[in-house]
Amino acid sequence: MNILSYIIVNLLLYTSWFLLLFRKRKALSFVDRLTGTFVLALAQIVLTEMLLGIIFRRLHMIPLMALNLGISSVILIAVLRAIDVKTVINEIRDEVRGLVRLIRGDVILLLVFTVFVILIVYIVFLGYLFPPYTWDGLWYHLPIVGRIIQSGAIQEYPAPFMIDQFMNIFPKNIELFFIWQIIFLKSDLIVDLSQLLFALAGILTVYSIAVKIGVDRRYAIYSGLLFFFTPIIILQSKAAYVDVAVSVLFLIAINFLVHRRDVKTTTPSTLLAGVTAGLLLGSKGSGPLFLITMSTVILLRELLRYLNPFKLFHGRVVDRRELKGRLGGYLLYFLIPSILIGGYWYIKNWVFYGNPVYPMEISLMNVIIFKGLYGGIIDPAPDVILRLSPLERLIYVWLERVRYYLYDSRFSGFGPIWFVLSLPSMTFCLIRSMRRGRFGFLFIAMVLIVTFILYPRNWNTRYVIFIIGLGALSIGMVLEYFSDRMILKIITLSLVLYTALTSNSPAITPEKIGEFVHLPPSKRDIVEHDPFNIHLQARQEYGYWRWIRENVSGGDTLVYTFEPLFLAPLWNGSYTNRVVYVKAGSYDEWLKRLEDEGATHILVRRRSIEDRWIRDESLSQDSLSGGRSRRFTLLYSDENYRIYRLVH
Amino acid sequence: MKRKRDILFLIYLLVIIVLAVIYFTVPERRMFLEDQIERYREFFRLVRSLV
Repeated sequence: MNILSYIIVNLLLYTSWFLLLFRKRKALSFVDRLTGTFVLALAQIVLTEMLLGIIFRRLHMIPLMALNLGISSVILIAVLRAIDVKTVINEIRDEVRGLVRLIRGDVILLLVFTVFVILIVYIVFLGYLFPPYTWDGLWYHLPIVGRIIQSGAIQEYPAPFMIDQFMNIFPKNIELFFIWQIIFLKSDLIVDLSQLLFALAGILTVYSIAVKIGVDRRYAIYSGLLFFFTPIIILQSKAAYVDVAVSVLFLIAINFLVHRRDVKTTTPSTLLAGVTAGLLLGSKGSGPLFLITMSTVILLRELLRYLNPFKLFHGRVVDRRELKGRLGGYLLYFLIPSILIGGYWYIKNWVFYGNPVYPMEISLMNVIIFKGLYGGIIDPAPDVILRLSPLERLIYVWLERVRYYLYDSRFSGFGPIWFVLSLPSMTFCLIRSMRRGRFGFLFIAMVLIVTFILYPRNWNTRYVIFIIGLGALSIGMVLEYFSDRMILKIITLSLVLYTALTSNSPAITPEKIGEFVHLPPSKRDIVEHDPFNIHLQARQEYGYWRWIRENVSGGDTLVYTFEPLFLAPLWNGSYTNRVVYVKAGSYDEWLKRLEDEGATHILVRRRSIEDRWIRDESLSQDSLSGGRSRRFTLLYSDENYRIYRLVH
Repeated sequence: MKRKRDILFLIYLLVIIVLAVIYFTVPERRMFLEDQIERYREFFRLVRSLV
């Protein structure tokens, strides 16, 4: 039933937007309508969850499903009256046939595509087999999801620890997408495959950009696929992180800002760029930087077209009236939608903390504009990085002087295609485009390079995945330029194979795969997995994590009394229990708060004050509760932790 | 035109060969590849056991 409802709601969601965009087929290519469908569906998910979670505080499965089915049905009914479904099916068939023909016509491309398909199947298989295991996923991405699901509300939560404060502050659009993957299925089984959808959207986006700037479709497919062959993208495709999502949204927004020359109206494309930029703005605290660079480069592009210095734009100049109209269009269809969709998190922070980007302090020439806790990134950079100049840092990380890849490695992630092929290809394409006046490519390169330069800690590959898009685009252009040189394609294929074969996480070993294949699904938990990246810090937590997963049922309220390593394992795998932090100065006050919260299970550290209170009460047979029947039953105990059941 | 393209191609090829040599000869790459080879040995053992 859960799987069925998940399939139905998604099928209607994506179909309705795809059919709606079909009506805009003169303004949007087939591939842009596919990415547009993904963006609009994502926007619907985010906005309906925000509506239910912020306004009505009823973000539960049934209202969410009813609301989305309602919206999708209205769109479908309206659209089906206006279009012929046969035409849609014919178009899909023709596009697939065209794609197959192109791929089959190039042996190397066929091999790259085959490796890509095998890799996707492998990632989905791993996603199905292993539970979410990534550090930040367990630390705050999934706890954000858990808190919203348990309360049905998107709100500020008490913040006894630093991580709680960050969970309140972070923009949460991608976490809302994570909720979508859990709330219907009542399982966290596929939540860490969410970013795979973004990776696939990234492939389509890079392909589409390539076609728009005049690259032959065959080489555009090379570009799209090469974007995927990046270790950090492959590894994060099975990680409850947001980095791939953020970078791909940025690329999608840029793609919709690049208009085909043959289209008469650019409004649908610009509007889709605005919606995407809004989703991006609300996905990570660095969202404003992306919006600012995009807006600045657009402004610059339009001003250059108006001023036309050195007669750069042959026949594509605009007069003052046109300039006003175009800038007005961007304001109306790009900037306003993006702020409306993504601005909420910043306005909320402004209201609660007096600073839209809290806890980051914003100052200009020593004048504090928004007071915060610190001026930069709180997490210190590694010593080896601090000793190097900004350029040396990039080279050091791009050379990947590490023993293994990891989804959040700070010293690797871009792989050999970036270092060996993308860097010279980008240089080649930039010089050639400047000489030939290929402004489409230069516009894209300018947005991406400026954002890359401005991005804090751009040596950390996972923050700047978007620059891979420029590299992949450039390789496609170079392959086309030297299309008669087989050796180049063979080198590309070799690097593709190398990347596909070596982008393995040491957290998922063949031994573990073999072990998990033989386990029943209910036993495939993080404790059984015991990934190396958390083993050292988390092994003493394993006992109670497993106990909670197996014994805490839907509707139970688990109270914790200390700062745990990770919050996510305090929820059972279906995210149907409540998790609440309860601390108090006295036993009576604590008991009262436990009752108020409806606590059923209490997780305490051994020898903590709460543990002593409970032990003392158990020892005195007649509890001191004034005749009330309150009893703690010990359910779980290990060297460090105990779980009690509270009987009211 | 063709000659210019040939020269450009040679320069490009030379650059990517140099970059490939730099990338694949960092000291850590050997350990990286040894680990990967060991991983695939383990992987094939697993496949054999499953088959």
